[in-house]
Amino acid sequence: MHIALLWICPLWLWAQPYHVHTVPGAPPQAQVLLQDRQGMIWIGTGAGLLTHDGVSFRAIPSPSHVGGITALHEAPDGTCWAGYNDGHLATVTMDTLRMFEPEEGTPAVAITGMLTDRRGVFWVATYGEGIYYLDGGRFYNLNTDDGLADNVVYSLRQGPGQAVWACTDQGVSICEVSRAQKHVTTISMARGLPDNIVRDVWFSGDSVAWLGLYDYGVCQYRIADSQLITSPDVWTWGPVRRIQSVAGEVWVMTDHDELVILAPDDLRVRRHFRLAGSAARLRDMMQDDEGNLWLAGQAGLFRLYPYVYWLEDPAGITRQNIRAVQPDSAGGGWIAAGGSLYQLSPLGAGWSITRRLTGVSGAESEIISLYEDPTGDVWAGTYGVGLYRFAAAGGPPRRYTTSDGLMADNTLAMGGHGDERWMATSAGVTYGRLQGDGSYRFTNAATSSLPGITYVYDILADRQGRVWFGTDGKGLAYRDQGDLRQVAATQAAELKVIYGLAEDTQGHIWATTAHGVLKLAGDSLAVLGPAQGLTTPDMQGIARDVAGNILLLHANGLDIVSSREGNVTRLGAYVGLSDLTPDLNTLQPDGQGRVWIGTERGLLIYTPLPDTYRRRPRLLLDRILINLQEQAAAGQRVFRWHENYLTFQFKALWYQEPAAVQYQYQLVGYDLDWVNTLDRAVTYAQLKPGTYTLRLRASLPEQWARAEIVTYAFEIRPPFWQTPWFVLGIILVFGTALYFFISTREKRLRRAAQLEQENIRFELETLRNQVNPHFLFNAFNTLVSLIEDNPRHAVNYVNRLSDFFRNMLEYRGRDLITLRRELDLLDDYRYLLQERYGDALRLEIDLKPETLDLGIPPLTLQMLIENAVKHNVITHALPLVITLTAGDNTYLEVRNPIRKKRTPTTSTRLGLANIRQRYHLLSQLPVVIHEDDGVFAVSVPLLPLSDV
Amino acid sequence: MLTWYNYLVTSSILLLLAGRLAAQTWACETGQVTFRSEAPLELISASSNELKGVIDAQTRTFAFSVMIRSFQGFNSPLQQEHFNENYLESNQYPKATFSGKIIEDIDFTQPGTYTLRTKGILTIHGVAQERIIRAVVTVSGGVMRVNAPFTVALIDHQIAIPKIVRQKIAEVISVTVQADMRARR
Repeated sequence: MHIALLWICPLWLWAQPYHVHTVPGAPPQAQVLLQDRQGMIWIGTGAGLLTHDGVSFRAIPSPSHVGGITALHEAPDGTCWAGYNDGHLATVTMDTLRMFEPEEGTPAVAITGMLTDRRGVFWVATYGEGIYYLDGGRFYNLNTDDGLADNVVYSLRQGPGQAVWACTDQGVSICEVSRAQKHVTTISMARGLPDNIVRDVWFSGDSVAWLGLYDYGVCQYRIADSQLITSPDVWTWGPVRRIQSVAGEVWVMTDHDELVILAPDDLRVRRHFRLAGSAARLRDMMQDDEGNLWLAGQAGLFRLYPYVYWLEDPAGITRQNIRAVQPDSAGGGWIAAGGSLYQLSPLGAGWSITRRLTGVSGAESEIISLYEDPTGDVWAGTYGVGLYRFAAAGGPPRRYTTSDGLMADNTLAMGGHGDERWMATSAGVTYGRLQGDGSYRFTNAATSSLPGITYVYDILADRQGRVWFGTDGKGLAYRDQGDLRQVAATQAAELKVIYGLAEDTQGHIWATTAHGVLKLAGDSLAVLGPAQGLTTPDMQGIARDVAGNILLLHANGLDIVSSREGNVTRLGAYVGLSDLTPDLNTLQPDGQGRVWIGTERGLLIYTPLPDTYRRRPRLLLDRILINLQEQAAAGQRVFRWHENYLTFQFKALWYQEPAAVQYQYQLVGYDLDWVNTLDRAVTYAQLKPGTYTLRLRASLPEQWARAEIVTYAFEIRPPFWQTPWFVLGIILVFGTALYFFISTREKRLRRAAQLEQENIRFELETLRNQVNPHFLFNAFNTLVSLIEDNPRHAVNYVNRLSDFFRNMLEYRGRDLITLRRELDLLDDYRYLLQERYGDALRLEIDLKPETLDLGIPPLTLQMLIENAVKHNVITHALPLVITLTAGDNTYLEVRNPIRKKRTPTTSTRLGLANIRQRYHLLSQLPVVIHEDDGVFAVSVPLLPLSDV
Repeated sequence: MLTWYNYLVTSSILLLLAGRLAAQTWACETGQVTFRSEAPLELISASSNELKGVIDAQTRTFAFSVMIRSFQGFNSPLQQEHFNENYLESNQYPKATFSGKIIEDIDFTQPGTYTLRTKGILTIHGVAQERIIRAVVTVSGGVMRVNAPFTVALIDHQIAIPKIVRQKIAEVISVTVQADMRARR
């Protein structure tokens, strides 16, 4: 009796098919979730707003007067919107929250949803005031007066086209607006909806809307023909709160913390589970761009990976240690566990499980291999009791043993194509051939077609008609059109034992060994291991999924080598895959894109992650700190010379396993190569002025070659004294100063030279005057008369005359002499004049003693007095009085009354001009000549002696 | 055509509301509408004391209207003439009206100060615009004092301003409505 048991179970109700990870450190009262375009997760809670990067939470404070956050939305411009339970609205840019206060005011009731529609109109749904929308700068309201089904809106979603769908207690309203033009149609019980209360809606393309209902679960609305399809299952999981398409199925979250997963075509319930821990009080559900599903509730934040789940059944059959799996072409599959073989057949939304084989003939035997051949027959290889073949048509199996030609009664692996079958046994490979009558003829393949190969772990028939053998000790071998070839590269000692085989979409053969995964592309062999990002070199199973990715099963999870990019992602403890301890080669793809994986803990179903999801960490340059404190402005690329102590904070988003992310950075212009770090920040101190480019990348282990590089180019400006303009300015200033210095010096030298010349001319003039015939004639006349009258006096006169000429010779070359000395000089001259004119000429000197030390050009006074004597009439009857005064000690005035001679004396006119010229060279002060009221006065400046 | 239609609609709403004679009908006792146009070159401010209006607290509906010609206080008589003849065409569209519903459910029998939002149709220059207008309402001693500041964009009401006076007339006009209303019994 081979059919021992039959269960029919459309729904499996208990245990938890998904591993739900409670996010540590998450805030309580999580109400609403959002992932922005950068990838950051936003969490609106009863106490405020937070962002999450997989590692930590950052709070964005709200003003104290507002309530909890009930809605989040990211506008197309990157602004995040927060809606509060008291109707307030806020925007967040650069981690700064600002309350939004439109002229129209904000609602007074909770915000339940926000979106920006395809025209750019911003919508706000409220719990009691209908919908507001911001169009052309004005808020408009859409409520029951405008045709909205109800003013309490549970959720708002962008529908196909321009329409926005609003879920209410009176059905779902489909709204299209343009300014004050509103068009609303409602789907309600009047149009066949089983329940008026619609809590949420989700769209599958443009044609189908799934409606989440309060009492009746889920129904499907076909938009084209308005047809409603309801779920055939009785709904017992509570009011729907969120509905969403995840991993090709419809996920529903209810008020009772139930998660129900339905088939998208017929809305049959496939699985459901309740979040462990009774009071999660789930509020929102969101799928991120890595494929993770996030759940927010009163108890915190939860995350699960919806692409892997444990198949559950009420009897626990699928949760035993699975020894072998084989999905079949009928849509079901076979599993071997606990000494029995079970067939799983699709039935409704669930499976029927039939026990097809149990401890055969009382012997302790295990089924250790399963294989579905091209005809649909399923073969089960046992350990010790032969080989069973279950015909696709059904009925009891046919058993083959050594007596039928098998090499041994245990079968490790099977494979084949067409009519050919190969069975690997402990005693060699058996070759089986399908005969015309449907029977099989078995021979020893080792002697005929596989000489020398006795022990084989896996057999793979590839698409080119070759059959590959993973041998124990002889490496990789294949049979191609009757010839056996061995892959020479696999003859190395550590690669000689091949455990599993798979073929990828390009026809490359992959094989597992204890020392790495082999990839054979033509003649070239690559060995992959931890250095290429794999968790371990020692894989227990290998298979290709429907997307072409190579799956590698190991004791603590599943490594996925992407077919498109070749990068490795790893599913492990973070998604609940640990302690799997699978048997050899217990993973097999089915015909529907899923992969069955048998483990010690039960049967896992894996669905490949679509390519639209992110398979590698995304690196974000978070912020830049200048001199350890202030944050650089958004987009700042230029720093001043003293802002050269820069800290770059970055983070990589990889929510599945944030701890696995590694970072590298390189400052081009500073670092010669990439620098590894586990920190999420790097600091550069004392950067010299110049241009730099910071390059950052984040990767899962050893995936650097495929990591995206984030670059940040910046410049540190030189200090002002190093700028070209400043240097140029300095050169200019110095140049000008030098020029002025040289030119003044030159001027001074020129003036000195001029003065000298002038002095010589003056001296010449004076000499010429003194030795002019008149002077001498007069002097000699005087002398003659003296000699006659008073010879002694005459001697004196001649002495004074000679003194006069000697002094003149002595002082003529000086620029300045003291007034005292000048007066001494004048004394001789005066004596000579006095002798000649007697009382007719009077010289009155009225000078204060302090003026006597001031300077005067030599012979100036003599020249002036000579002028006076020369031009005026001097008689006893009318004496000429010449006065010398220095009223204010700065000028010396030589004054005489004008008594012009009738016959004007011929004059060289050089005397006064010469004095002027000399003064001009010596001083700024002018020589003043004053002539009026019959008085002629010349004032010459008295100069301090240090002037020259 | 449009003129008398507008008039009819407004009056009938007024009549309808006034005619209910419900305890919860409030009517305008004194009402003032002020507008300000703050343009770079000129500040224009004018007001009318002839605001009429009723609020039905039962149904949370209301209607207000003001005659355009009743606005006074322009900078010059010529400006007033332009305002009436050229811009608002008060011969053709003699009234500005706002009627609709109060969004919040407020019990006006209780004294207190309430901030509420009204949703209604604002008709100026014959062009009807749906608007949400915020109002602060203070109820005390049987009098309801309404204060509602809002803005009117000229373009919304097809009020055309010649290019030459653009610097003198703002594109968005600030309007303040202040009214004391008393319950009718």
